[in-house]
Formats: sequence, structure tokens, C-alpha cells
Amino acid sequence: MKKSRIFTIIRKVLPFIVVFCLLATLFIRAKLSSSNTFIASEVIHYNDEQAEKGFAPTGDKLDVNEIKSSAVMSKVVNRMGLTGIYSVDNLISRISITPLPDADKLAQKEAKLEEGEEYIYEPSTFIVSFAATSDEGPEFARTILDETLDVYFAEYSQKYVNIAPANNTVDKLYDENYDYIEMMELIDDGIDETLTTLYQRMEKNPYYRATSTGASFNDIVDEFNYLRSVKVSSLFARIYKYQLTKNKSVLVSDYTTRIDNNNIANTKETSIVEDIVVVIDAYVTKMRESGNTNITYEYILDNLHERNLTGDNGYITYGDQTVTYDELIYGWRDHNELKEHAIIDSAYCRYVIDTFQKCTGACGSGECQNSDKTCTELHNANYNNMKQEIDEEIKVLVDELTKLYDVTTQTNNEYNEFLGASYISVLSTASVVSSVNVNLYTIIAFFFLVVVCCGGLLVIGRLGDIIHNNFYTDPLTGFANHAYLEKYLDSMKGKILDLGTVFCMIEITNLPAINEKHTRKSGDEVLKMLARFMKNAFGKSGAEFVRESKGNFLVMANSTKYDTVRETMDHFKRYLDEREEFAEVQIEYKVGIAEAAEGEHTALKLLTEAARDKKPYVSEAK
Amino acid sequence: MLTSLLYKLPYLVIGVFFVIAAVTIFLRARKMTRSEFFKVFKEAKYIQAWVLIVTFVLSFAFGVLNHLNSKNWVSAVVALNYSEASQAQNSNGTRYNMAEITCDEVIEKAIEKGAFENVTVKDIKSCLSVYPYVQGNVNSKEEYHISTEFIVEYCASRKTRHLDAESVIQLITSAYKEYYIEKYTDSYRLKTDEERPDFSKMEYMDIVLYLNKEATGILNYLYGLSEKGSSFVTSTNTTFNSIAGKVFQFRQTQIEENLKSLILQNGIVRDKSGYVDRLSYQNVNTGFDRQKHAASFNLCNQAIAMYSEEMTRVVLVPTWDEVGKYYMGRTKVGIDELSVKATGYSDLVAGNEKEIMDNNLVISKMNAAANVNVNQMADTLVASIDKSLIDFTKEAITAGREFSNYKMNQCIAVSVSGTSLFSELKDILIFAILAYAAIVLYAIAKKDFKKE
Repeated sequence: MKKSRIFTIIRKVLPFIVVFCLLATLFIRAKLSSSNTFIASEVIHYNDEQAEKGFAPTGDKLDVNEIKSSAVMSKVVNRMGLTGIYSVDNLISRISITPLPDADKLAQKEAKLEEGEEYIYEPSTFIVSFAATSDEGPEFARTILDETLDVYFAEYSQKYVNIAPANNTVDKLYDENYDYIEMMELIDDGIDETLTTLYQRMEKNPYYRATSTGASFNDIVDEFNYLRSVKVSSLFARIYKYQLTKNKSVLVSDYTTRIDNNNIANTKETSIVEDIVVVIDAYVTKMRESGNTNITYEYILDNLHERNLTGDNGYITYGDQTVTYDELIYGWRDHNELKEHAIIDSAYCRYVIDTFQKCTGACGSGECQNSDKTCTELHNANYNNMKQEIDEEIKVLVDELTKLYDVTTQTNNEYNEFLGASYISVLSTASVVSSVNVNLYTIIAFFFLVVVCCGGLLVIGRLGDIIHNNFYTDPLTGFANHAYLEKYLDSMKGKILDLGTVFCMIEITNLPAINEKHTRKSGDEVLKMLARFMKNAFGKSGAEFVRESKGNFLVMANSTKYDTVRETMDHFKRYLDEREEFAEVQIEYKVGIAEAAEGEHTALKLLTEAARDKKPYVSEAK
Repeated sequence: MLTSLLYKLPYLVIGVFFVIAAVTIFLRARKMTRSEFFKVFKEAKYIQAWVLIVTFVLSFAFGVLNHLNSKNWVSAVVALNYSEASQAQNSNGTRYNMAEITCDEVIEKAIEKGAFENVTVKDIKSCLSVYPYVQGNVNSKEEYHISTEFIVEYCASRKTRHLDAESVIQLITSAYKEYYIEKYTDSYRLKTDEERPDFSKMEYMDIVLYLNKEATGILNYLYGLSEKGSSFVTSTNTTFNSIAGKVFQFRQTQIEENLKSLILQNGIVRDKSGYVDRLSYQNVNTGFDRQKHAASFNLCNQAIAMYSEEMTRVVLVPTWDEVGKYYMGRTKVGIDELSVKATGYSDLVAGNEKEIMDNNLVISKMNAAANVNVNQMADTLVASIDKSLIDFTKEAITAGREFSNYKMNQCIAVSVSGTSLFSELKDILIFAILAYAAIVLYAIAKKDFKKE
């Protein structure tokens, strides 16, 4: 088969190839789209200088994987209302965190390590990504990532920056079985602790104001102080004045036990203090004897003093320069302080006991001293009403405090978010890319398919050519051989030929004589020449040429007429007569032509007619 | 859904025309010489009545469907105008989250404002999408980008088709703006009547405390604003410091001096016994605290006294300070810290004693008070101070809002872009040209085919 024939076929089937490729491309596009994932990524940077040493501001190890911890992700699931739809583990598995180390610092680290110096550097910039499926879409990926980082920023601040709690310890306090004075003590202690925490916040950021509550820590402190000095002290005063208690015996026992505990603790503290004094004396004596106390004010240290020290965990911190002697002195002071404060606490307890045991003067015989009830309880008819009033007022106070604690918590939460955003900055906001460029790959797939189809066609065509050349081609003339003719006749068995089909048989009758006279080789060359003349004569008519046997040829022409073929054969004769090669060879041949009539001729019949039509011709030797 | 499908139908029709024409011409061209092929186009009639009619009909259908379809789609750009936006933060310094543009609260607010019927938050949410106007690339440092403009798209669904798309997007963005200002901008507010105490039931000295607290609150708010913008001048030609100065002066003169003195000097009290008891309790309580502080003070002093003279030697240390400058430091010894602590405790003791003395003064004044009825005068003064404080609060809030508007440049800017008449006409024109080209090609192919 010739090259042009392959391209002719390709040209013929090109529309089908294109349609096939389009359909296949659509299928590929659908598959690509369904298996495509959308990856949302954001770049974050830990601003704290300790982050480059791998530590959080508190000195704890900084673990960026906390971004995808279940604590964070479960909050994300709740915030987005995805509970029951997505499992936390599923979302966690789709988050990836990639460190972006600073190239300069890495190089510096390697150089230092090569020199044997210690150099700690950990990346503090990270790409956080979330992958969503094609069904979930790019927006889902971006939203999940945004929410995850929102929650993480607040968690980070709460865990590593703003760690002191300001918890509500008085919520529903009245539901417990506390005595009035105990309740008030708990309330007062709770306020005290909260104020200490709030003062720390105020010190760090005095003008911070949460937009959600409109309150600053200053405002909240003022509110707590106001409640303390007005309502708390008022309730305390009334409880003392009217000896209001749920159970005098339990109350007195409770405070007596506190005094006993303080006494025991003080015995222990006294013993410790005595020991410390002994150690201090021994320490000074030893230092004196070793000459360490002979330092004068002229003494100047030789080396520059490093302010920071490196701990066991590699964490750089401000050095604690307290000397042992100072520690001993502070120990002496602290233990004495505990002792003294315990004595004052005991005095307070005695004051409480006295307050509830004392006789207000209402009972002349001092009967209240031996009673389970206080003097006021025994003699004031209004006592129960007062208890009820106090109960209600404590409830009101606790509810007010709870509201204030809610404001504190809300303000603190926002403060955490604020701190989180100041300790971790966003370098690039969430951008979404698809894992596969569907459009690009679709175009590539289309062209690839077209190339593969055409290439396949070429290969198949070439395969056909090889088969044709090996089995159905006459090697001498390049025409189809007898086997081809048989195959053709078989395939056309019983079929009527199209109108315009003309068979032309050419038989070289003196071929054996030529072979004998001019050698077989010359005979073969003559056959080749004849084949060439035949082709030339028929030109581009599309006729098929067959070498049926040694000197017998068959030309099968389509869409033509008997007369046209006759004229073509005249050309052939002229070629033969006017030949210059093998001019010395006389060629004797017969030509038979037959045209298929409409609906009458089979291939075999037409072949027979052509054979019957043979007429002899001679091309003389010159 | 149906409209968007129908919208594609005219394109499909001209596509079919084009494919038939192209295939026919391709098949015929194979049997033609190049000159014959060009001749067909040269001699073809390009203006034919039926071609024009079909083009017109298709274009008209397209125009109608395009108009209907464009009514269902609209977008808006939300731009963040405040300075913190470039750090991906809200104006209060917390992290910015663009998903909030279409959060449930915003949609709920929009539904409420627009009085939308037969739609749920979920219905509208499913029609909205938000994405950054420009997004960066995390793989290259040079292409990092903090988005400050976001596109909100609304594409009506079957459940929301009865709503006007442009109204929906306008209400969503406007609700978001309100939501944002409410959540992320300064929100110092005036106390409601329910939150304000009933002065007639309060002790006069407690009223002083309360008014003092309120005045301090306003001052704190103003000082905070002053820290952010000390030179900002309001439309009434005031600065935060000038308003704060007025409030401070007012607190000192009206509350601390006038009201407190009036109450104190006249022993004005509603429940003398109760109030005196309360102060007595405070004194007892403060007394215990004083004892503790005094004990700590004494212990520090004792520690200093027992600190061995031989251990107090100091040496000079070359070192550097917080800003990295060298200086000769002196080694600290325990007595340095103990002295500082002792001073601290001494201050606390002094504070406790002052508190006790203050309370004792009040107690003595209350006890010594003649029964002259000056409560009326005090009540009038309280009412007047309270009113002034409300006015100061309003003034502070107004100044704060002015500053917010100035600083945040309206905080968020929104521009809604639907499909304009001009762009619809442009679409129709492009379609008409394509349709005419496809149909003319079809006409040529058919004519050529008939000839054959």
C-alpha cells in the first residue's frame, strides 16, 4: 500500500476519528473532574522569636500539628454545623502542614554545625492546606481552612500566651450546701483571683477593648470592685451582725478546725525556719573560711556577662541569678510569712467564731452559749425572714457575678483571638487550586487521542501493507499476484459488479521463447517493462493490476467504459512499439477486454468474457 | 435551571446549523478543485430573506432567554478599606474570615430586612459563593497575597427564583456590613434603662462609687481612643483628650468633691446602721489584710537585718541592657529585692490604713450628722451628674464612631454588578453575528449540494 493511500484513508475516516476523540475527551474530562481535588492553602508565620528555636512563648515545645488536632477540628465541625456529616478524623486526614524553612538561616545552621557550634533553628513559616473533593468544591476547601485557622489562632493564644484563667468559680454556688459566711468567702476569694488575672491583662494591654462586649479589662475590674465593695461587703456585714447561719455548730466546728490546722502548719513552719537559720549560719561561716567574702567594690568581672542562659531543653531564657545565700534568706522569710499569715488567719477564724457565739445581750442568762443556735436566732423573731432575704440576695449577687463572668469570658475569648492574630501572622490568604488542570489536560487528551488514532490507523495500514506485500504481491512487477486474484474472486462470488467495471487481460504469448532466446533474466526485465507501461497507460485511473501467472496480466478498472480501456490499451501498444529498451526483443501478446453490463456480470463471468475477447498483437523487434 | 438550559438552546441550534454546513462543505470540497471551491463562496448569495428571518428569530429568542437568565445571576465586590485588612485581620485585630460574608447570621439578617418569603437561610446560602478577587500563590514567596477584595456571587436556584437577584445581593452585602461593624468595630455603648440602677434604693456613698465607676469607664474608653488617634479632631472640633479632660474634671469636681463632700459632711445616708455596719466590717476585713501586709513588711526588714554583712559585697559586671548597649552592671544581692518588697508591703499597709481611716471618717460623720434633711439636695445633684455622664457617654460614643468611620474609611465598600442593558445588547449582537454566519454557511452548503 502506498503512503498516499494511508492518508487517503485517514482523510476519509478523519471525521469519525474526530467524533470518537471528542466523545472520548468528554468522558476523560468527566473522569478528571470527578477525581479532581481542590486544595486550599494559606501561609502562616509564627512571629514570636522563640518559634525559630521550636518553642512557643511559654517555653513549651511548639507543635504545629496542633492545627489539625482533634480539639481544633471538633470545634470547626461544630462551628460549621457539620456534626454527623463529616467525621473529625476525615477532615484531619485532609489537612497537610508543610514547613517553609528560611534558606539563609538553614545555611547559617549548617555552617555553625560544621564548625561544631550549637545552632538551633526550626522553621516558623508553614503552608497549611486542606484538600476537598470535586463534589465539595473549592469554596468548601477555603471555608474549612479559614475556620480551622480561626479556631487554632484562638487556641494557640489560650494555650501559649494568655494562659491565666479568669474562671467563674461561683456559678450556682447557692445550690451547694454552704453556710452563708462560707458562700461569701468563696465569692470574695473568687473575685480576688479574678481581679489578679484581670490586673495582669490590664498591665499587658491597658486599652484593649473587646468589640463583642464593648468592655475593656479595666471596665470589668471596676465592675468587680464595685460589686465587692457594695454588695459583697453589705452581705458580709449583715451576716455578721445578725449571726446568720444555717447551722451554728457546724460553722463553729469548721472554723475551729481551721485554727487547729493552722497551728499544726505553724509548728512545721517553726521547725523549718529554725533549720534554715542553722543552714544560713553554717553557709556564711564556710564562705568566710574559704575567702569568698573578701570581695571588694573594685572587683570587676573580666568577661562580658551573658544575660541569657540555656536550659537543659535548649530553651534560651533569662538567667536566674539568685545566689544560694539569697535563696536561704528568701526561704527564711517565706516560711516565716506563712507562719505569720496563718496566725492572722487563725485570728480571723476566732473572730468569726466569736461573732457567731457571742451573746447580743438579748438573753440575760447567756443561754445562747450552750445552744446550737445563735443568740439572734434564739431571740429575733425575724431571723428566718432575714435568712431568706440573705439567701435571695446571695442568689442575685451570684447571678450578677455570673453575668459579669460571661462578659469576662467573652472579652477574654476575643482577646485570645486578637493575641492569636498578633502572634501568628498570615503571609498569604487562602488560595485554592485544583490538583489537576482539567481544561489543560482535556485539550492534551483530545490531541493525544487524535494522534493515537491516526497513528494507530497508520500502523494498521502499514500492517495491511506488509501482509499485502508478503502474500498478495508479485515481487517482480509489484502487481497483485494470483493469490490476490483468487481472494478477490472468492470475495466477489455471487456479487454483481458495478456498472463501469472493466477487466482487461494481457497475455505475453512468447514469454518462453524470450526466456530461451534472451535469458530468463531478460525475460523478467521485459515483464517489468510491460508492467511499467501498463501503469503508465492507465495513469491515475485507480485501476488494479494483477499478474495472474507468468505472462498473464489482469487490469481491473472501475468507473470507466470499454472504449476508454480500449483507448488506454492503444496507448499501451504505442508505448510498446516505441520502446527503446529491449528493442531487439519481439513481444507477442494478446489483449482481451470485457465490460460489466448492468446487473449481469459477476467477476468470474467478466474474467471469462475478457479471456474470450483476447486478440493477438505483435510488437516487432527493431 | 430550566432557564439556564433553554438559554443554551439557541447556541445549540446554530451549532447544529454550523456542523451540518461544515460537514456538507467538507464532503463536497473533496471532489472539487480549489478554484471551484472558492467559486462556490464567491458566487453565493449572502443576503437571503430566509437567512435573515431565521437569524432574527433565533436572536430574539436568545435575547429573551439571556435576559431571563441574567436576572438570576448577580455579583458584588466586597472591599475591606481599613488598614488591618492588609494583614488579614479584622479591624479589632482578630483574624479575618471571609466565610463570614455568607454566614447564617448575615443571611438571616438579609432575609429579615428584605422580608423574603418562602425561603430559608439554607436555600439562600446554597445560591451564594464567595471567593477572593485576586488570590495569591503559596508556592512562590513573590506571589504571596493578602486578599482584601472578595467577590460574592448569587445564582438563583429553583427555590429562590421568585426573589430579585440584585435585591438579594444588595441585602446580603448590606447585612454583612452591619454585622461586621457590630462585631468588629468599637462598640462602647450606653447602658439601657434596665441596666441602670435605681438610685432611690441605693446608699448615697454607693451612688458615688457607681458614678465614679461610670466616669472612669468613659475615661478609659477615651484614653483608649486617644492612644489610637491622639490627633483626631471630631466634627465638633474636639479631640479625645479634650473630651477626656472634661470628663476627668467633671469626675473630680462634681463627683469626688461636690457630691461626696455633700454626702459626707451632712452624713447623708438611707440606712445609717446598715451602712455603718458595712464600713465596720470592711475595717475588720481590711484590718486583717493590714496585719498580713505589716507582718510581711516586718519579715522583709528582719531578713535585711539578718543578712550577713559579709555576703552583701557587690562586684561590677560588664553587660548589656535591653537595647543591646554596654554598661557596667552591679551584682544584685538579696537585700536589694527584700528592700523593694518591704517598700511594696509598706505601701499596702499604708493603703489599708488609709482605707480604714476613710471609713472611720465616714462612720464618724454619719454618727455626728444632725437630722437636717438634705437628701433632696443630694438626689438633685445625683440626677444632674447622672444626666451629665449620659451626655458625656453619648459624646464619647459619637467621637468614637466618627473616628472609626475615618480610620476605616467606611470599613467595607460594596459594589454590585449585575448584567447591564448594554452588555445584554452586546451579547445579543455577538449571538446574531454568529447565528448569521452559521446559517449563511448552511445556505451555501445546501445550495451547492442541490446543484450537484
